[in-house]
Amino acid sequence: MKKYPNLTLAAIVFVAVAIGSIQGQRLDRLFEAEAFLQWIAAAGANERLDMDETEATVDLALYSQVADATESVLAPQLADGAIEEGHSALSAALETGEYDDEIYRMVKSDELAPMREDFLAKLRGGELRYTQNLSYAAVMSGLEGKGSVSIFNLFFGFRKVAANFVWLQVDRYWHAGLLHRMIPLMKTCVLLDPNFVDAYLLGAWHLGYNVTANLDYTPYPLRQWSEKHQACLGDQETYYYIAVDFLKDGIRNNPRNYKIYFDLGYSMYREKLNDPENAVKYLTYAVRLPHERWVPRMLYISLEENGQYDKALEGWQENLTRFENHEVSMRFVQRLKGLIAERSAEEAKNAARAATDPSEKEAHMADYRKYTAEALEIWNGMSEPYSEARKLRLEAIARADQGYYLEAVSLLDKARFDAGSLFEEFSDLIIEFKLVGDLPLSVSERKQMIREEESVACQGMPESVQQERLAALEAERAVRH
Amino acid sequence: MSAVVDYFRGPWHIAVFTWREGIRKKTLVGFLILSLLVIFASFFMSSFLNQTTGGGQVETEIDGKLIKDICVATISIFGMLITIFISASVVPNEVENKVVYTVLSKPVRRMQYLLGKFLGVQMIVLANLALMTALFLIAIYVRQDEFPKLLLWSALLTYFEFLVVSAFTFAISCSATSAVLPTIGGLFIYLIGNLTEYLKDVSLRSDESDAVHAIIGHVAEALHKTLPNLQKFSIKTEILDLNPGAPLPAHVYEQIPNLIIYGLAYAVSGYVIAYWVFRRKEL
Amino acid sequence: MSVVIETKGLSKIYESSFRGQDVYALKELDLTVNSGEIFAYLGPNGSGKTTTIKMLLGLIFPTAGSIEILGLKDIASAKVRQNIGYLPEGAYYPDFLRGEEILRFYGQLYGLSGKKLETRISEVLEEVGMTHARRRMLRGYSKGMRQRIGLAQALISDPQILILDEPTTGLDPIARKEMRDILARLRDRGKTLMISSHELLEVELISDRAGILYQGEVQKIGTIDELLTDRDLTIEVESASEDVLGVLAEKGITPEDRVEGKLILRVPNDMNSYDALNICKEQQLNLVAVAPRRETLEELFVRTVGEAQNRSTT
Repeated sequence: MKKYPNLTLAAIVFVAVAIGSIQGQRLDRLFEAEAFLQWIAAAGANERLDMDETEATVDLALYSQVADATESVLAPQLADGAIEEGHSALSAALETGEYDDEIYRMVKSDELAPMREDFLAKLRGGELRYTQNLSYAAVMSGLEGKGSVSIFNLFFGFRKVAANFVWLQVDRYWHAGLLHRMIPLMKTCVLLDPNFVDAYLLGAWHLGYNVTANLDYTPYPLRQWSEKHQACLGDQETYYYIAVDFLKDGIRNNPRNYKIYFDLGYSMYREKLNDPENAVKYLTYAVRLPHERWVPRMLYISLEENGQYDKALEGWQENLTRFENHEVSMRFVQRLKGLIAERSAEEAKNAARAATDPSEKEAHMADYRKYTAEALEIWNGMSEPYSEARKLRLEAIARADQGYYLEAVSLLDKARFDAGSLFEEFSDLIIEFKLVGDLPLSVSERKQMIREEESVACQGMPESVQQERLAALEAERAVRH
Repeated sequence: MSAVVDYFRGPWHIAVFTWREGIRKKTLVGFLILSLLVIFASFFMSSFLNQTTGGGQVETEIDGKLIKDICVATISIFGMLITIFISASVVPNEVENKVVYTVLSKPVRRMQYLLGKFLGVQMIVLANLALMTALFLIAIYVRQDEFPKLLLWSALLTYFEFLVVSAFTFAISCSATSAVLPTIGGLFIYLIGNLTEYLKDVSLRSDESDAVHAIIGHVAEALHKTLPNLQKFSIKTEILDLNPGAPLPAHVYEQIPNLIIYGLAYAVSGYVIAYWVFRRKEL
Repeated sequence: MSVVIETKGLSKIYESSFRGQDVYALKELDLTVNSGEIFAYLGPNGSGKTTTIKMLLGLIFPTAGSIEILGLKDIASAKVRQNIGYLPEGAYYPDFLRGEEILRFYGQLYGLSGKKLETRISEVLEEVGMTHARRRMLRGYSKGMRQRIGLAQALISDPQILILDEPTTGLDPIARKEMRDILARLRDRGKTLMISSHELLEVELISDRAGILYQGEVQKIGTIDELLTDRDLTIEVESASEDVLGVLAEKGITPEDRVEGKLILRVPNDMNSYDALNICKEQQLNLVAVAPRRETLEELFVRTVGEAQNRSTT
């Protein structure tokens, strides 16, 4: 130092910069590993979304390699039944944060190194789709052919602020009624900030609820078949599915946020698309993540709507253990017990009808009477429009069994107006009784039948799907008779 | 041991002196007030949103997010401005008003003097960052009723970003006679530090078959590897998107210490350059 | 009497970026300052005074030559620094501090602390006559008070040597007088003072030795008595005609100045004063006053600088 001060100082600067440089490259490796992890998380979430992935074949191929490589380590760690059928252990493990550290360890391991390299090469080649969420410019830079300036370098890292201002504009367009301008801006907004969860939620809400509010019902023959969604899309449905896709994008980018799953399941599939099966699916995912207390209740309601009474009952009972004397839960527990008894009665009746042996028939009928009495007792124990309406239903069925169809229909007609939530179910039953009892259908009932018949086909629907739907409708009608 | 303590006693007193003088700077107070105004303004910014939750279908936290993002950006921008301004001015100002003569004619080595000044600057930068973060914490706490501990990690990383810029600005200021040039230099360092990533593009785009292109490409690559890259600190904003209730994920835990070492290494090189310049500087 | 500051062949060249445009701020300066004296370091602006002082303090570095302070070549060593107090010209001290706080800061730099520091602060404040203002903020200080606080910070470590750059510049006459008294007192207490100044009258009143610097070279150096050897006589008369003046001039008596209609005549060094008076009597001049005349430092300074200028132009 004393003798060669300049040399010493130069050496220190050199060493410090060298450490910085080495450290910088080390950080790049860490960022790359994180990017790989984030992409895996997005692809893993995608596996649960059941989407048509013709556009993301490269992602899927690479993901399945990673899933296979991690299967043997992860599968034994997961609880029984955690892995859904046809899904990988990786996807199941990614669902909550529990296995993150383990997955990160594997992502960095030598074992996965070739896949990591492959991922980076494909990422930089612009071949991957599920990369919206990658946060680091260092990883993204070098995108070949695609204009290599990474969006993450824009605004000096203040792109989140930019996203907020874009959102203010979206809001302004909404109030100005310029709905068609909102959609591209909403997409810009989440491109700038893929973690802008509220943009996904509000965006989907606008699309699903506000944009469609002024659109008319589209009859099936005028609808267009969508291969991607396996559905016939009219004017409203087109926007519903844009909202669904938008939310699914949101899920890929934020796989751990229950809100998007909830909105997809509840607001879209249950409320708008009348699809309780998918509603149950996404609400189940939502419940597995940290959530608000009302989320599981919506799941139980959807389970009930999807006919999964036992699971719904289990849920409400569990809710009761958590919130003692919770009135709503108690009511739902009773209601589901009644519904289960009703269903058992129905099954016994059908079994009795199918039985040829008279003693067997009698045994089934005894069951039927027992379950009906059980249901009646439950309904008697409650006093609310719902239980009263269900009592009327039981009475109507008894009358119908005796051949008094007109009386049965009038009872149900009273009941469906007493308990609004049962309107649809009872209306269907009225049609059924009228058809069996050979009573004339009303205009609206006739219309409903026509619509049902129409709904089996739309423009561009493949023949096979059409046949399938037709068969399903006929089977359903056969049961009624 | 006591020799070490003695060595750092002088710098410590100089640091305290620098701190006491620095916090009274009008420009600094001005920046601070401005940033506080922006933080408060972000509360009102959200009123531009005519909350569209009419049907009660979607419960939003957009205004909370707006405040969070604006506050983080404000802390970054104003914090950086204050850092640059302070780092650029402490030494030239003392040369200008001749306090440096009275100090260096005391038994204080130049190394000690610079160390004291640099420490003083860091104290000011930290105090200012702490103040802004604290106000921001309160703002978030009032709105969301939840202690945003991730913000503390974010502030820690933000500080190390400031430290790198501070050290190099300080180095420029040691060779300058007034604070103007180093302030501009500091802004440039901040700009360049944020654009380092583009150098990689330059090197990737260079056409190897053309000699000139190839040379430019290699130079860009070398610069990309050696220049500090402030974009690496962008995890300071990413971290805020994590679940505040859960522990930090393993990958973030691994990145934070590495990032701190990264910042420290460049800060040390900046400081040593400052001393190198100042060691034989004619005052 | 020992030597406390000694420079040998001290040179400072400011290299210019243009070839051959180098500026010699100081040319082979040989200078000694003795213990216990007040050494006046004189010179016009830009002559190299501050350059010399800064080199003594290690603020700038010599191009050639050596410096020895208290017999040590390592002027940055703690022993030397402990024993030098420096008051720069027109230094600024932070406004927001109190008088005693400033001194505390500088005292701490010397490694002083605790009770020792506090007593020392009281002592120096007493010494510069600022005890009454110790708790006042510097922003309320007058220029003279600031200068005295500046002096106090230079004194805080009780150094042997004090280097003061223009200590009285910009002060009013009373403050100047006070400052001068303080400096004289310090000398009496055995301190060595090196004062750079162009307030020549001030310096003349208190200094023991002086050096005159011009264009980086010492032109004259010595004790005040040695330097101001020119002593002569002036005779003040009512008036004199041109003829009379002609006669007087032949004898060597020259008119020097006119003050309020009266004429001051200068008698050359080698002329007996009675002879001169006789000549005046012969010419029937009305005598107003006879006074001895000693050349002032100012005159010496002007003369020296003038001579040096002439030399450099020819």
